[in-house]
Amino acid sequence: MNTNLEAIVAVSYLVSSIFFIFGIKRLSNPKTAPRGNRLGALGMLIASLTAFVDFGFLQNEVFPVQFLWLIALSIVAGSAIGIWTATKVKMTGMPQMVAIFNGFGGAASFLVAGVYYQFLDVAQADTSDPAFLVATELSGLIGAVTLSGSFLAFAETAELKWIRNR
Amino acid sequence: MNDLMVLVYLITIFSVSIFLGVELITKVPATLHTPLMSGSNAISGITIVGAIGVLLTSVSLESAGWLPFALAALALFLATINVVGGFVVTNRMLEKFRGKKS
Repeated sequence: MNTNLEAIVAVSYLVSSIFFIFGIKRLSNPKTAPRGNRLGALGMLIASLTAFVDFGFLQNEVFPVQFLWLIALSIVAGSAIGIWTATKVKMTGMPQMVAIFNGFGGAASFLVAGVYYQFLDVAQADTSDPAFLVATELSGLIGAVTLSGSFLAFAETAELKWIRNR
Repeated sequence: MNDLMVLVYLITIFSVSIFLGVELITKVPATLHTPLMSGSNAISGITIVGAIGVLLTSVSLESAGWLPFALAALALFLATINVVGGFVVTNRMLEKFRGKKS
């Protein structure tokens, strides 16, 4: 374990969370709002790159290069669909779009918690660790609620027939 | 740090974040509520860090087979849509907002 790299990773996560806080802060004023959004995006970029260093080199010792293609494919396809739908959607359709994006985020969170709980704890974490149990179960639960709630919100805002008839 | 202390430490961060969130959100004018919702949704895509982590960890576990790997890749895909789409859609909202003002 490289202690210096560990410290750099921790500081880098801290920097990204500070960016998020200032990003939301600036979103509360019409003048600074566009900058606030960009600050949040920059924080997300920093956090993602840090995650690659963190899980690629620190936690796993060797970066799994042979699977880079799948990681790249997931990111490229996700970005392409995200940009395409976000730029194509009509102004009036934006709340529905945001609801769907939020649902996808919840689904991702749910999957992450599920994979951690079901597969990775066997090899990595101690299952009796209360921090692991509470954090994983909560993120799975909140992710599932986000997923179902967001899609219902989408159906509601899009005024789909099947939900209005209830 | 023992396991219990880690839990207490995480709960501490969680509690402080709740207060921070309330403080940040309550001062926002009503006209900015929609972009704020959209922007904070994009930030909630921070689960992308978890997706990257779970994917990089599952590929290093050959014994676990392909299922965790496939689910992790799906999680990364969905999280990326959330993050990228969220920031782009917020940016579009704010551009329209600025156009209306000036």
